[in-house]
Amino acid sequence: MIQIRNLSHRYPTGRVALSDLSFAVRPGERIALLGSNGAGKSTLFLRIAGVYVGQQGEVLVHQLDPAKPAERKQFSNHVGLVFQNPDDQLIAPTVLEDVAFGLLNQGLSKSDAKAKATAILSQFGLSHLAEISPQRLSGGEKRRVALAGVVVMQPNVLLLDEPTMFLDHRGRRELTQRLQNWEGSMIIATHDLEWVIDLCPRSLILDRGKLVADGSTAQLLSDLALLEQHGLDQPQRLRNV
Amino acid sequence: MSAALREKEIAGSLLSRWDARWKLCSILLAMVIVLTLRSSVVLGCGMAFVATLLAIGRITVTTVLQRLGWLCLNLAPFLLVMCLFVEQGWQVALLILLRTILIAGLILVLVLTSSASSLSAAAQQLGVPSILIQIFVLAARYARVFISELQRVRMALFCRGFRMQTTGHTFRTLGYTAGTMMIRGADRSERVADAMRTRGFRGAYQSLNELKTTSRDVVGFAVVVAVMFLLLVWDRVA
Repeated sequence: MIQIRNLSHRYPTGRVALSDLSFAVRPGERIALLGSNGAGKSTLFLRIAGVYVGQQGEVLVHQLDPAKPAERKQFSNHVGLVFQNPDDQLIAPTVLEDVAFGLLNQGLSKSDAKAKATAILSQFGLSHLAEISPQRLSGGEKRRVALAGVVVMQPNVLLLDEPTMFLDHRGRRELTQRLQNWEGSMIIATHDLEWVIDLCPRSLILDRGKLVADGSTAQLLSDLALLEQHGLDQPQRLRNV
Repeated sequence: MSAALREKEIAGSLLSRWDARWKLCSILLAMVIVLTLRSSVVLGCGMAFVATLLAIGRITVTTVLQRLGWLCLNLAPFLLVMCLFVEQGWQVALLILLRTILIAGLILVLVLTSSASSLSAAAQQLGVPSILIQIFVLAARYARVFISELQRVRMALFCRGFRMQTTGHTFRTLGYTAGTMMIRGADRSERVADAMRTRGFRGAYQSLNELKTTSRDVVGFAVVVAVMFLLLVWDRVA
């Protein structure tokens, strides 16, 4: 599904965000991407989503290469990225228009886009907010609308950047259920280690742009020395095991 | 303008039900005619007409006075200089003031009785370049984000003991705040662009809004154009 080979990324300022990463994601796999601030998680997502291209290494999603302009155009049909701050993502004047934004970009007719957007809003329990401006939503509602706007495009791969940010306990529970029902592949970048234990069987740990560990979540999060070395805290739940 | 724009038009008014395409065309035409008017009496009558439109649109006097008050306050120093230093400057200043108020009133009629969504759809269907529609939609959306961020920064400054004074410290702090807001704005614009690209955006914003023209919309357009044309004729004869 996703093949990443020797991927590196350097920003114009000279800062190296990613350094020689290689890993693969199988269809339907759920992976947690862990690492402290500045580890390169968001940059990796932007590379996988085809936003950043043309540097060292290779990213292949469904055998599509973002370095090739024609294939890059198809990326948004395969990869859905939910940004860390929903305000960056919700751009339309109303919630319904925002959810339909990606569908219209996919070439759907207005009536089809409206029908699909209405259906997903209903599925997410957001129908009552359809005509509201995103500005009026709470943090949790914004997060759900942002997720709905990506899921409605039916991508094969879902990338979530800090999805539990702005969510209360109930919101987290709802999000967990929704993600557990997701059939495609998924990579979740998060600091919420407690939350990913049950959700993601596999984890990757990034530190200063380098992939320092790749393995089972339970195993990695039980390795206290590894976690401390890379600026992560062991989840409370695993401390007494 | 974006700050004045409502997320949802004032519901139930005759003007909010007016097809946004006809409304946009008639208001733009009225604005062009206002710019050509030279008689302050005719401009005064034009103001009565705009006031009628604002009343039909159920826009409250307070809302109008708040918006126009700020505008006049910003315009005042320039008009004052004109009155003091230009020969018969008060006449020119009066003309500029009346035209500005009239145009601002027309803009209020347009933006307070239309949602951003319907205006963008109207502009799209009237063939307005996509880049202008994108600027409008994003400005309407992010002006509010900017304002709420600015309010948070102000509260944070207040909590840290900052009070507005006429001191170097105050001006320096305001400078830092403006700089911070600009940098945050630039960062956010990049993230917004990235988010739009990941959802398949290729340069053309499309609205879901479907607009339908009825005979009432055409009559509305005809009334506005007729009144403005009469004012123009009167202005030229007077």
